[in-house]
Amino acid sequence: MAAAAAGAAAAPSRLMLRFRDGELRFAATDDALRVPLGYAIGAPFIRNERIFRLLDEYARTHARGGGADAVANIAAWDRDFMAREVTDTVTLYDLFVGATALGIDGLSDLCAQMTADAVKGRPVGEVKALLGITDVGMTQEEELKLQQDNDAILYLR
Amino acid sequence: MASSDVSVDVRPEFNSFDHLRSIRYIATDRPWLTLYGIRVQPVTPFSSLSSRPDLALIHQCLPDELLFEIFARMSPYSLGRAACVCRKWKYTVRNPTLWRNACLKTWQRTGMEANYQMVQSLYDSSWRKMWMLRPRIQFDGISSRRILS
Repeated sequence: MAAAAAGAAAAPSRLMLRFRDGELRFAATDDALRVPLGYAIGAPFIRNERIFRLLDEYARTHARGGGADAVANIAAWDRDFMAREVTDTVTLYDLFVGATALGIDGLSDLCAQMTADAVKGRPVGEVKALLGITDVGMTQEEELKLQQDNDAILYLR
Repeated sequence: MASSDVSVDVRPEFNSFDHLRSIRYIATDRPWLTLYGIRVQPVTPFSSLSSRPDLALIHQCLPDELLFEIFARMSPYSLGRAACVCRKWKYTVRNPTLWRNACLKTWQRTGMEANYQMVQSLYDSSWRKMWMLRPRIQFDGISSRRILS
């Protein structure tokens, strides 16, 4: 009986997460937290199981990273990870939101930098087309005046 | 040592609270409350001119704090372009932190303390105004030239 109790104590408890899309996933945890059967912890900042898996993969890889010699390898792994997994903007934004919410600063920085690089150096019309911004919330006169002001002030000719 | 009791005359109306029951509270008529939800529409600074919801994926997925994080990784010239994209970006780009970082980076030789004094005395404590009006050297790729804004 004591052995059974010890075994139960050693086994990690399982948390059930409910993602924004309604998907459920069991996650093992060493925490003493117990969730009653049938109840799920809401994780609305993670869209689905795939995003959770990517966040988990990134966090685990960086947790394993060693000293200074591993920095170059980690940077290469980061580039490979982003090229391999982030194939569309939805995934990029979901990773960005999830990483920020979970405090995974490295991934959050990567996502922000990737979005900034996509916008940087492009003309305004191209940025709108790229990001699908159709409703700018300004009249054409306001838009034209703003562009002229910025051209004059910031030398964007 | 005997302690003398102090007797205090209590006014008779304070002996009971029955008189409070007779007080009738005035129900103030507030006709303007009926306007709420009918004529008064909540106005948001970033809302579009039309009643359609914002269809841009970046605005649906990312809150303003994360938009700011993206803009924090852009040069001031890219920020100028970004301000022209839409109303929401225009207001997000106005954040003084972005322009403070740009100014402190551009004029770092001046020193942080001198820059802070300058922005307060000459540019009405506006870092954006300082970036726009203070002379700076711009590198255009061919030669460096002094730009007087």
